[in-house]
Amino acid sequence: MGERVEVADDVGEPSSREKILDAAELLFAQRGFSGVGMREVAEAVGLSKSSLFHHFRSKVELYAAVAARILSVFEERTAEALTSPGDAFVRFDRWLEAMIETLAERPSRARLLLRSLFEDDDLAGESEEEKEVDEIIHRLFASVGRMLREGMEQGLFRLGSIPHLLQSLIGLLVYHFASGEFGETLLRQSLFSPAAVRKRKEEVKALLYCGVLAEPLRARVRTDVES
Amino acid sequence: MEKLLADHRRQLGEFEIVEFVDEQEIANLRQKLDVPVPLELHWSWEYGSEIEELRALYERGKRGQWNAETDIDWSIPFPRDQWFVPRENALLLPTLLTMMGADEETCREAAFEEFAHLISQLLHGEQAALQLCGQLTNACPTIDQKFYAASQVADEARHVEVLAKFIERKLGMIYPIDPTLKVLLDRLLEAPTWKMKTLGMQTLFEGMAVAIFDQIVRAATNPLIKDILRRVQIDEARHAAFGVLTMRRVVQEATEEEMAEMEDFAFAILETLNANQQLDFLRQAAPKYGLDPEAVVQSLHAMPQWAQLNSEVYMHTVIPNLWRLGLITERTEEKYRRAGILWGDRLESRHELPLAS
Repeated sequence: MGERVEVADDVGEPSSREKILDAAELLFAQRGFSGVGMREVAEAVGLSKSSLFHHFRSKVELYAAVAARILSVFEERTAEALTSPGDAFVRFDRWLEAMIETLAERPSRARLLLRSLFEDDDLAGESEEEKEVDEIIHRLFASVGRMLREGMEQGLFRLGSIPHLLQSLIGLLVYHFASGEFGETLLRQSLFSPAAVRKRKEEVKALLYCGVLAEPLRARVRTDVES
Repeated sequence: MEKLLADHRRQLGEFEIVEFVDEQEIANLRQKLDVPVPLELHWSWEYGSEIEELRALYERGKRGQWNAETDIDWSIPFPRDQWFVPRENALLLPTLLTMMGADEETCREAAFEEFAHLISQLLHGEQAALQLCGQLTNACPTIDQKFYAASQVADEARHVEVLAKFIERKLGMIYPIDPTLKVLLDRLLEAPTWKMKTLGMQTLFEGMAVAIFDQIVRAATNPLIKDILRRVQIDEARHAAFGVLTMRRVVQEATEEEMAEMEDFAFAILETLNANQQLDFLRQAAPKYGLDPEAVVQSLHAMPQWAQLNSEVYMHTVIPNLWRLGLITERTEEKYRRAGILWGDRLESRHELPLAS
């Protein structure tokens, strides 16, 4: 799948903390929380185990920091997409694009997010870092939920359950980019090539426009596409 | 036969209406919060089930419990500027206004207000049911009836909760209780015996509620209100079934005199409710839309299919149940027909008493 560790180009060398997070993100995305040891992370970055513990006091803290860093990117891009001008439909459309691009940028993101849903046994949710993750998720859902509610109230979107719609959106957006070999076998192409990402955007939008838009708006979008 | 609210009656064309016009009197009725109620409490030492079908209904009631806070998806909006029922033939004002050529926004606003009024009256009715079921728990003679009434107390509390939350969270407006409804509900609450209370609340008002909820659920296009009312409706059907099951035993043991008394009581309540012809509501809302309340009622009465339309809500559950119980006889049938409460020829044999659920 051509995974690569992205480094900050313009600002010179990334800090040790960033290097650790990059390596940990890849490892956790591949094997999950319990499949990765701290020694392995230290080796991947070329640090001793004790220097690693200097940055992150525990594996839970490291894992939560990785998740928080990913989620912060989603939060930032969500804010950009949703605070720019336009009605709820325009913002929803822009947000879908932004989310797909954010997931497509780094294959580890979707995998780690999807895996993190099943890590309940290991993560008690009590540390500061885990609380931060929860707070980001909460803010993220609240702002997307507000946009959806606005669209429903303005008659742009079909009236329905907002939590259910959020669930559906997560499934539709995240699962695809986390599906790895399974997805690539099914689609018979890479999930991350520019053409594949473009195709994914079209498919997601076409499906959502049928399920989310209210009938008058759906008719308008259909006409726009056809003309 | 006693005519309720005799001094509030007058002829409007060929129809005798009941109306309240004195604002002070209406305010006084609404402020009458304390109602002295005769209540005879019965102990029962028979803890085993005596009436199997009532015990089964109690079991169904326990299984049917739901939580108005967590089982309802309150995230679904109920926007004031979107249709939640079809524009015509679901509610009175938007149908009339559409016929008169009013613009869509006016019709939608009228629909919202009429709906807020309807839900508010249902809410006040649910509170009456809550109070009355508390009385039934005390007054009914058998343990099965007490169990069932107690489970209905919890149902009614939930209905008050869910409608009050819907009004507060989604409608943002509440209408006070209509004076005619207040008088009638007080009548039921003041009824001297558990038999009269059961007839009044469980057979008459629960039967009406089943019909009204059924009509809204069928017409509604908003998923939130559809879900709420569908849940309430399932409970109401159980309550109406209790009314029929209990009343079936009551009428089997009743003397001719008692039967006549119950028949008159049922007619007096339904006739008075019907005689108001929604004037309590129309007086509050119709003028805002340039409509004269009396003219609305008169134009409805002038329609050739008036009796058919007017009787729909009664013919749904109440009238068939009263008929099967033998509480509509030749003595009252014609009066029901004249009032537009009973219509057509589709009453089943009164010997069959299927569960009204």
